[in-house]
Amino acid sequence: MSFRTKLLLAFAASTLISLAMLAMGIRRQLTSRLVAQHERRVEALARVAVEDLSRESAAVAARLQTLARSLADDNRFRAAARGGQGERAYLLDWAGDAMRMTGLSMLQLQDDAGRILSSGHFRNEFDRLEPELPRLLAMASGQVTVASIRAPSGPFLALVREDSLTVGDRRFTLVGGVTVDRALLGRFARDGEVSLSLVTPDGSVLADSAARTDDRTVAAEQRLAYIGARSGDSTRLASAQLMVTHSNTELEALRRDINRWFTVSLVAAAAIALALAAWLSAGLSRPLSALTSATSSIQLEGPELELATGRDDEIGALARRFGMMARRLRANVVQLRDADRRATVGDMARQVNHDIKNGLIPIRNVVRHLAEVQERQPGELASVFGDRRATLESSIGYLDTLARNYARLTPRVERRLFDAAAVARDAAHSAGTDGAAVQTRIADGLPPVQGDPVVLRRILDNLLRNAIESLPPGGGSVSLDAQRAGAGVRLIVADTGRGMTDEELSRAFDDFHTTKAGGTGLGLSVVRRLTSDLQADLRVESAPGRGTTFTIDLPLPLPA
Amino acid sequence: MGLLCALTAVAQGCTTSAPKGVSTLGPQPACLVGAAPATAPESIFVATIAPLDVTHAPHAQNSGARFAFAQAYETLINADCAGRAYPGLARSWTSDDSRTRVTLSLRDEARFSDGEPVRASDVVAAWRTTGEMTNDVGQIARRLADGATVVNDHTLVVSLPDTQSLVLAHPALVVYKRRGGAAWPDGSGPYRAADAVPAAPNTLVMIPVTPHMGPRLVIRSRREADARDEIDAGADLLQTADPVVLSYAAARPGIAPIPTPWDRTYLLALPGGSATMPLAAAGADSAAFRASLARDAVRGEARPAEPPFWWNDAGGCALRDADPSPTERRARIVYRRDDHVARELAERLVALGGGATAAGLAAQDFNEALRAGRDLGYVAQLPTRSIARCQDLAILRMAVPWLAPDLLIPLVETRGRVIVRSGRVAGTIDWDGTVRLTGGAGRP
Repeated sequence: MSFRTKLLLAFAASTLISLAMLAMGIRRQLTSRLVAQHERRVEALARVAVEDLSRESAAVAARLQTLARSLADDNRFRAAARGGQGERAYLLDWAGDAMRMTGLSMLQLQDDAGRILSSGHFRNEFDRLEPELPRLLAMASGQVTVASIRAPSGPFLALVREDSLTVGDRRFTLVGGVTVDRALLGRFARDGEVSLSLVTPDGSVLADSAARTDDRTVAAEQRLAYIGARSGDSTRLASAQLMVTHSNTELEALRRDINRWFTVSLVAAAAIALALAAWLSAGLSRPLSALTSATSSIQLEGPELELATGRDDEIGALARRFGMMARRLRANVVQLRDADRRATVGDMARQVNHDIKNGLIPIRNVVRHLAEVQERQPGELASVFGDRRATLESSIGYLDTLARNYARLTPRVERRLFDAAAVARDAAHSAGTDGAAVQTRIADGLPPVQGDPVVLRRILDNLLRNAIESLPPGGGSVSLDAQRAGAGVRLIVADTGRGMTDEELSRAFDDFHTTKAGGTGLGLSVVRRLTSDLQADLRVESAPGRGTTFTIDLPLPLPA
Repeated sequence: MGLLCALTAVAQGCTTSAPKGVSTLGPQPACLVGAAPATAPESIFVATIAPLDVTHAPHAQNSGARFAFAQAYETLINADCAGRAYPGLARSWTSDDSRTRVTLSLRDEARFSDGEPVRASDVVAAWRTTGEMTNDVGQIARRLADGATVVNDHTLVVSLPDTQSLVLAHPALVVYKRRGGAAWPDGSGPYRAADAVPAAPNTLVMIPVTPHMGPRLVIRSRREADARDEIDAGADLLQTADPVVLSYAAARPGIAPIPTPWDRTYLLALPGGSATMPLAAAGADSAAFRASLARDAVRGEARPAEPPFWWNDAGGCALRDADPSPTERRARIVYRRDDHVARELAERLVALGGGATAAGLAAQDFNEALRAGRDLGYVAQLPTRSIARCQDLAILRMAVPWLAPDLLIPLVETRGRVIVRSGRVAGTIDWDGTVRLTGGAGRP
């Protein structure tokens, strides 16, 4: 897990846990207060609804009282009440007009026999005998009363009151009321948080302010008088209940809203916290990442890398320190490279010396031989010269090639097909002329190999000379084998000389390591490098007193 | 056209037999309204509370259109408010001994509104065109056209279905000529529509066929308006039965409410007979009961309906038997919602007991309910008199198949009034209550 991720998680966790605890606490408090407030509000609404009903009943009574006073002063009514046919139409229409003016939904004017003289809600109800309604209303004695009232299109429920007046010796009764329906109860229910229902004792719903649902609970009840229940052929006074119920649906919806908003707030806060954490952790880790990237891409020999050292914090100090370190390293590298270049020039000088020496040795030997022949057998000089002429020419050619290679300063290994067996014969022949016989075993039909024949010659010259020099005086043998080995040609240079210990063997290819007096210590080092140039495989086996064997596997050229 | 609409148009029939010999008498003085002004006004404003539906010209669908068409189209003869015939498109007529064949002479100067003279063949052609209609109007016209004989351009012999020549005053028998592309057919009346399409909604302007020969008519329909506002706004002519409006008009100077004929009879139709309604059995068909209804239950002018009733007399008419009425009925008394007299009667019947309720229906719904006969009772109206009794009985039977005379209990008769502004309008009240303007561009 990266430092940045750890930083992010730590920051987010600490923020989220704090936020969640805060949100849960607030939500709990808010919900409990909301429930308490809702309950108080429902109680208040229920109380107001019941009071509204009583107030409406009182308002009906007040309007009836006003109508009774007005009617008592009405001469046309007086004339009609006395039986005047001329005012009969006025009497029939009086209740309708009065009802419209007072805003009542029903109005009846009855005489002392209970005969309807004028009916507003139902004009043509006149002359009907209906004494029960005022009688039962009188029995209710001011109690809030609802009654089932007849109408052409069917009965309706009304909140009713009664009043009376006397004209002459006749008593008249006024019964009036307002419709109790969903609209009226809905008005009493105010904002609809509570519902009002008028229910008879047997559970029949006379009216309600809203469609009934099962999830409602009773908040208040008020007993009313109800005229409408039938008892045989007559109507009787019964009781009804005004039930104020409320539903928890709205409260639950409010709770859900709170939860939803808290969730939304929490998620939003978490998102903001995460974003903030990401921003801060990025602010910390980005310069570190940049520093890491810079260190991974730093090149001591390339152009100097710019580091963000403008910051004045710890990261800026680290970058500045790192820059200083890089500059010191670059200076050291320059010094090292200069020393290496100087060492390389020395190596080359030593190698040139060594190579020229290798080329001059056969010539020196031939010249000594010719000198001896001239001194001892002068007549044979020409013949011996003829015999050794090839050796001279070979050595001269070798030196010539060597000179051309060094003339190019950076000799390149040629990549061409050549006959390794021929090179091996020349090298063995050349080494054999130095006084030790080299047993040569060259297999027939060896395939050409790819590389530089001069490089192979230099390898074999070095190995054969080392082998010959390792032989004890007057004994031992050196052999050179060339044979097919798998996909290439194997050359084996073996001697029966003194061999090497394991320690000697482990250092045999190191530069300037030699066990010979006057040796340069570069022979095997050069062999290793040249073998690598040929992309050949070099192995060595040696044991003290048992000689040494070098095996070179030359690869065949890849098919085109 | 629904049954009751059709029959409402045939409001008052003849009380006299067809005259024998030449007849050229004018309308009864009692049927004249207003007096011809000394100087004809530029415009006469007519107000109506009925919708002004003129799409079926020349056949009216309501009283508003009936007034307009009465000024533009003519029947061969007219019938005044007393049920007496007076000349229309025919200046005179004679009948034979059987009094079922009438020879009519057209006015020499009668012309359609496009200037072409009206010939006897045009009369028959108009009836044939009307006869192509599949409704009740078409039925009357088809029968008359089949029995008509053109003697010459001005003489026509018509075979009547019975001895009542007043059938020729039936609005279904107006004479007109269709002209391609015209919204209104050409008529022979003194007025024509000023525009094919009314210039303003619910307003129709009619102009004299002869230019500058009389005022133009501006007929305005205000269904939702208070008719008293129309009087205040200067309406010269208004027909209404609303007692409040009539009371108001009576108190205004220069305005005279003139009664129209008793033209509506309200009935209680009981599909199950009087036995299904205890109230009816207890005397709802008594004269005293009808009198109490007319006196107390109905606001407006009403009187008890008294026999004889034309629908009880099917003598000489070829009618098919009534269908049996449905046996299952709802306990309600149904009336047309826009008919306040029917509502008052229905409510009174409900108030008197029986356990039924009253239900007001829209016109179309009411007609369908009446046809079905699945209610306890229906308060409906019929023309008080018929000028084509057999045709109207046939139409009645077709519209309400279960209706038989013994299932009808007549209740009250009503009438309205024509409110006329003095010195502005002169005209004749016809047998169906329609005012036919006279003077100026109107008829002499």
